[in-house]
Amino acid sequence: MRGLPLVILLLLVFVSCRVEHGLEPIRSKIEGTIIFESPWPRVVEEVRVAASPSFPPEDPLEMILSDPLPVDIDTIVNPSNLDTTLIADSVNFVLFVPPGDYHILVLWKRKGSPWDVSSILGVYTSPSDTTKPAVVKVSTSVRGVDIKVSFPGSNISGTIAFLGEWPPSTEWVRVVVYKKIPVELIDYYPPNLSAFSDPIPIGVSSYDYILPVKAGVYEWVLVAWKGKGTPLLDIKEIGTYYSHPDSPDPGKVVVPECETVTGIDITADFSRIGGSLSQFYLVIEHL
Amino acid sequence: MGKSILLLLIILGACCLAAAQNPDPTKGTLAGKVISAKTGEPLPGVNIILLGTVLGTTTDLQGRFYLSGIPAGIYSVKVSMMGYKSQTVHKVRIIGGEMTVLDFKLKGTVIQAPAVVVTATKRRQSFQDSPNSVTVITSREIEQKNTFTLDNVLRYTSGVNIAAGQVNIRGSTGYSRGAGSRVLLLIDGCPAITGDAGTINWDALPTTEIKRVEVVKGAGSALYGSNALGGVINVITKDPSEIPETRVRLTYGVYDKPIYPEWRRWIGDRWLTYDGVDISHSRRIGNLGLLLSMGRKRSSGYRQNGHFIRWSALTKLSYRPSPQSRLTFYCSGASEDHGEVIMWKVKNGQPFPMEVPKESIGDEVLSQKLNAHLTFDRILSRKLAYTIKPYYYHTYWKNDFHDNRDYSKTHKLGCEIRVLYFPTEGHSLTTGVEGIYHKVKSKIFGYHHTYDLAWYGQDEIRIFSPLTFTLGIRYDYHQVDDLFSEEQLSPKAGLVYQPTSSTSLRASVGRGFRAASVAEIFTNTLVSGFRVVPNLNIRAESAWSYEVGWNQVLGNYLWLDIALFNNDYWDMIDPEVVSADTLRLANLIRARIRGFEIEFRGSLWDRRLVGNLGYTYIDAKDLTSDQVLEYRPKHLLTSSLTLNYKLTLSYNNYHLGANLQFGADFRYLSRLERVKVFKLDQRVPQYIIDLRAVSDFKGFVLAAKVENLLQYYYTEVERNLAPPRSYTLTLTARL
Repeated sequence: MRGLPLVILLLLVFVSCRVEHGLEPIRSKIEGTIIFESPWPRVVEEVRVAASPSFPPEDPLEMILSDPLPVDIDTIVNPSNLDTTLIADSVNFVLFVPPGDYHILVLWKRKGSPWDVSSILGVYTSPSDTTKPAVVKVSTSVRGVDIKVSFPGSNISGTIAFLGEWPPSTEWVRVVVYKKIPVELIDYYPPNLSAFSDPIPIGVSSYDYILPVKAGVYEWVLVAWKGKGTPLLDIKEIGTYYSHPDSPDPGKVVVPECETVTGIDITADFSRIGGSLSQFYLVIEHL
Repeated sequence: MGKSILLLLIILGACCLAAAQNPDPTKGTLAGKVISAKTGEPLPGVNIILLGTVLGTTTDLQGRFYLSGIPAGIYSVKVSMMGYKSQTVHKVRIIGGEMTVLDFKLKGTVIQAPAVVVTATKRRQSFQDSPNSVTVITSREIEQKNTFTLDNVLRYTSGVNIAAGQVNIRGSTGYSRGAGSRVLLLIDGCPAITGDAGTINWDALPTTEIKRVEVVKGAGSALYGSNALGGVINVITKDPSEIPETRVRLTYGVYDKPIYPEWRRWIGDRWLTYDGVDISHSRRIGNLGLLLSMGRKRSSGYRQNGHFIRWSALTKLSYRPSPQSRLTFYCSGASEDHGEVIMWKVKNGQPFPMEVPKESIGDEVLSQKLNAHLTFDRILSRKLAYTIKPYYYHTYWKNDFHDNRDYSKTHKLGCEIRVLYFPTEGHSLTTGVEGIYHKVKSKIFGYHHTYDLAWYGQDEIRIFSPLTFTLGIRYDYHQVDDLFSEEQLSPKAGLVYQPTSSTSLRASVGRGFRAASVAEIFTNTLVSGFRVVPNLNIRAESAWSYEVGWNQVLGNYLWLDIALFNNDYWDMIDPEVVSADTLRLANLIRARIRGFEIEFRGSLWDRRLVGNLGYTYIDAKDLTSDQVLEYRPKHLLTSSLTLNYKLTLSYNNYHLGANLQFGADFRYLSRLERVKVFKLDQRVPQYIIDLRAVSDFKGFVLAAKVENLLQYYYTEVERNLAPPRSYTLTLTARL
């Protein structure tokens, strides 16, 4: 029992040593502002800031997410008009992260869908090089992590397969989108003419295109050809999108907000070029 | 029907009694007393075994033993008890119709080494004869831990760690969010794994009525079938005491407040407390032993929504219709209502570990468990005995969540028949059959039935004096509804070499498997925006387990055990991503877990200071992805130190004596290298120190305990804070 006081003393010494408490509140944080450069589509449920060790994020479980940004979405979206005006065009955020190196992203979530880490609105870049994502080194507090973001638009995409030789008289070939199938001459102009692509490179046998459009329903997606020196109106339809090969009518394309509709493939046949100036009516007859 | 069964039981009982009244002239009796060589005090609970036979008994509170019905002949009698040096007396003659008296004086060893175990080979054997690593936790150690549930005791067992209620033996289970334990839990040898999720309910076991716990490490399916992939934990309950005893235990405790103000906000000025009351009574009436126990425990929880209230009851009856037979009935039940904490609240990346998300406040789970078994042991001759063991396990739980109203009700009905035969001394054969039926009725899993049939056999033979060889095999047939069936063959082999009485070398190899639980096959639910769908193609996991070990008593002061192990796992079940928002469980992982374990036990100053230290190194690898296996710590360290002191106060020829005990428990787990979700969350190693003090004075025991002395904050799984520092006072009165 002579050793008993020694045992007690050792215990007391041990207990009085500086004690680590394990987990603790996170003291380090990132602060900044998210600047919205485009309106909020109706389809957006929430937007969050995320810190990820890698970019693009490799593992969705290896990110730290903020709460949904404090934006009152119901007041932003005007239910009577899809062309909305933002009430708040920038929002401040704070995100607590353990010390380390992070890429800071802005993610958005579509209503009715699970979180998708590839839905990236924007990523923080350094002021000196805005083309590459920047690493934010966090040890205590980092301020001024400002990110400009735009919501993705809607697009139509697909592949154009060309049949026949490109006529030497070709000025341009483009993908053209109409809301409704034109009935009168005025229907060939905006607003019924909703979008058209840049010229397709001359001479290609196939071409993958992606064409920004507004969300909506489009009844006629076609490939149009114009010859050199011909009037602007003298365009020829050389291919139309059909949802089914045997379908008599052009395929209707429904484009949701912030989504790219793929597979709108068209076969363009140069043998359909020819004829008189009254090409519009040829187009109508063709349909 | 019920009346007919009752009549039959009465007739059977009468026959047994009648047989007991007429002594057999070909059988004799061995009786005697066992006392301490040093103090002369009687020693209760000493094991007396007639070597090479199925015959044995234990001493009562007066140190006396009485073993009748022994066929006339010459025997070797071995006497053993933890903390004492065993003795063997050879050439003891038993004469028919007469009593042979044999007294023993046992010398104490300073080593607290376990003496007899029953789980490793399904029969009573000396600890050193076991081909597997076995750790025994005594009732004394459980009382010292002074805890409500057994998992808190297992945390301090070498090679064992708990991850949010899921037990790991040498990293076997990991964490599977409550589905599929890779360790089999037994209560008195009967499986206590839930029929739906295949997990363990720790709150169904009353710690006050546990005699000892045997932890067998390594695949054990050759004797126990499914779930014994990583090991087996057998909880052996107390028998009714010889002398009437009533015990009342009152517990009160309080959680310390968080040290960080941010974590304190939901608590305010109040203190979070817990309390419990347990009452038990035990007695013998003739040949009938009776143990009754009831308890109520309540806690406000140390975190938001962490409260619970639990009622439990236990009955154990043991009846000896004759010296050769024994009938034991056990039944325990528990009902609990607790708040559910799935994960803590996070705000803009800042954790609030004491709080839950606002929508989860008020989520509750109601659960009920009933566990019953009947054991009939019959000794047919000195070499032959059999046991029949029907059992029943019922569980029910219901969620009352803001977004979930799932429920599940299961019934498990099983029966095991086992025969033990000693052809010669040093040779034993064990064989048995077992059948289990599960019925599951559940909103989340559906309506299902599973059937299991098994046969097992084991041969242990002493090849020559220090060398024993064990060979075993088990065949299992498992059927799920009318959907599919599986067959498993689980062999094992073991070798034990004991060149001296202080040295034991062992080696074993064995196969284990775990059939997929009903939950893993059929879960159909929505969790946190993810749909979990059934997978009817999921099949059993399997493993091969290898171990070599060395057990050594060193100079009467130190007991040492070293083991090297390697476990290979196939088809481990893990979540699989089906689509962006859909998961299912599937056989995905090939893994290997290997390592070594060192355990010391020793004592000084005539066992006034007793200590143990255990270290386990685990190298756990997911061979499919070539990464560290999730939720397995690399290093585990457990240690306990207990100081026993007898205090005597004298005043005017009046002496007052009390037994005091002071102790400290320590455990360390290294930081988890890999987890499944929230991978960027802080993770820290575990450093936990508990202090305890006990005063035993004239049948009243006052115990004080400080758990997590250093107020160390850690998690076992993501976003679930483990208990902070707490102070507990317990008063036990033995009447």
